[in-house]
Amino acid sequence: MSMILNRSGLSGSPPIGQLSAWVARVRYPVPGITAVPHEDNLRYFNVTIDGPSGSPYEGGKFKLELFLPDDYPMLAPKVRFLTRIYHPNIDRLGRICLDVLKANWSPALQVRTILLSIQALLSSPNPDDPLANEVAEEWKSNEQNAIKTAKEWTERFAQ
Amino acid sequence: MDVIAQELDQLELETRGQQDSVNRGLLPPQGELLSVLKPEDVSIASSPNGSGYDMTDSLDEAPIDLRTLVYVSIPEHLNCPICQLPFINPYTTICGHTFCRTCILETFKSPLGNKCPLDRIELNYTEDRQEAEEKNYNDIFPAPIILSNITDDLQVRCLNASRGCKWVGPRWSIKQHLVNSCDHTRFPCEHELDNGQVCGQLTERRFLGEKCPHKLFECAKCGDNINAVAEEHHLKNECAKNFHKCNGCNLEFPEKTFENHESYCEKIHVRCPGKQYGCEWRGSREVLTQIHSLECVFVKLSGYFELQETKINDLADENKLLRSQISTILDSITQGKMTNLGYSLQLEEIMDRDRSADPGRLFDSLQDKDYVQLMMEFEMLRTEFNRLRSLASEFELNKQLVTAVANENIQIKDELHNQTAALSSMRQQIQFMLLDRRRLRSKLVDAEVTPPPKESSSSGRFTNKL
Repeated sequence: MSMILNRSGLSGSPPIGQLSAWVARVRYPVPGITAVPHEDNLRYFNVTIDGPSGSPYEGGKFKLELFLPDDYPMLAPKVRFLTRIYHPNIDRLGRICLDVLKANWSPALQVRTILLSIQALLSSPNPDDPLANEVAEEWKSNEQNAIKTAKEWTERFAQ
Repeated sequence: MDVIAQELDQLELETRGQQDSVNRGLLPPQGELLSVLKPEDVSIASSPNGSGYDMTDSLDEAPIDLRTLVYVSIPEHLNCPICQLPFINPYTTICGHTFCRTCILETFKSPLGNKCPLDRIELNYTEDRQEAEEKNYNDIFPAPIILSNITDDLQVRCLNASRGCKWVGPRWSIKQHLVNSCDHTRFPCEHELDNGQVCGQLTERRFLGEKCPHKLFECAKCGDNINAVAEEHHLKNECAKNFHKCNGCNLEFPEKTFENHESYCEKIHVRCPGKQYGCEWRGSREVLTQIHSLECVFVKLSGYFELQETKINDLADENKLLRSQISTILDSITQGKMTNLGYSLQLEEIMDRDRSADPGRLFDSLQDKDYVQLMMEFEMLRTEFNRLRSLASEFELNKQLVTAVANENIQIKDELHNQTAALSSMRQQIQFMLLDRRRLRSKLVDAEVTPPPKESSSSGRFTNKL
């Protein structure tokens, strides 16, 4: 299958050297963020992000899964929260509403910058562009209560 | 220099071919793949079946995948922002960014389309050469040759490193090395077998000779059937009678168990585990475990040392990261463009946030942050000023137009004046004529008997008057 893709021109499996260069870059991202590749699939990463200080997620360790698709870096990596989180831009299934993961992806963005963006999203929720509608409503109508719930969820699920 | 560019183009085409061969089953097993992740380990691993470079085709068509190369060290700035490897046939965009040719062309086929992946500026490009020439598209073009020269001079390891080749050299010479000199490049064995067929097995160059290296012979030590290719491996790992004398206990062991023996021999001389922290002690393992390790200060402190070392490494990593971030930020400032570096907020907003969170330290951190902000405000004012200047010139133009119109207006007014004067004089004349006519008519009524010729003469007078 990947052979056919190669012939057709648009990316396909990159050579090992390239994959390992990416993997090496993903493995040592940033303080507060770790990414470990799966043993049997180097394109699949177990990611943990520490809740940013000053946010309701402070003190939590959030688990995510990250997958580099065959067409990476032409297509964005697929990222999903595994830990439940109370956040207007992250839904019950852990899907993330972030422009750089969708329409605004650029091949020059790195996994490192994507993970940083997700961390930044935790410290600045955007209820005006919601994915979890109920959470966003709560966030707009009663922010203090929403932040309290987010703290409770962090203590319950992300320790 | 064009010759080099052409050759690179060719290499690139070959890259695809090599990729296929990787997919066709030369892909190393998973363990190998993992070991590739730590390039420094590769040279140590030496197995006869490791992945590497094979020459199955004729000499001219030997494909080399430059993207599988392992570099000795990579300066961060020479990496393509897309594939994260040193540039291969670099192309530069009109906005000043450089990518591998294949990378930027693939980006144009991706959802991002014909935009620069770094600043998303629209780039004119079409695959059709003729069309590109007609429309004079030149938004992407080959990078300055010096860049190719620098990346071609980067030191790389041999593609046969996993088979034991220790060669390190500039990237431009890898093809020559693999094709002409590397002992670990594999060729099809051309010797005839006993049954008359050609052997054909892929064999490393070092085994190729006058005799077929696949011909079996008896091992001089144990008598097992082996061949020249497997001899080294056999002596080291399989042969039960290839003895080796231990320096510690003076007993003989087969080579295959020797390493194992060395790790537990009680008599062999070893160094103190605290040697990396400065212990000079050296002696047999027996003495070490029973006496020295109990009293050596360095061993006792080793836990603390290790802790410190990991801390230092963490800090070094963090330092490196911060350094690279600073350099990207400085780059974007000097280029006059602030990108948001993948953060969801604009940089301005992030700075505002910092300020509002920490008003007390405003004056401490006045320099850098405020410099950036001032620069940006200055830029904004400058663009505003330019806009106003263009507006002003437009006004000037309008003013000229208005005065021209006014002048014309005055002329028209004058003419109008003249016309009115002429009109009024004509009116007077007509009134005069009407008066005259009325007088004539009254005369006619008075003298009804007057003969017609008289009237004609009066009308002749009338025309004369006109």
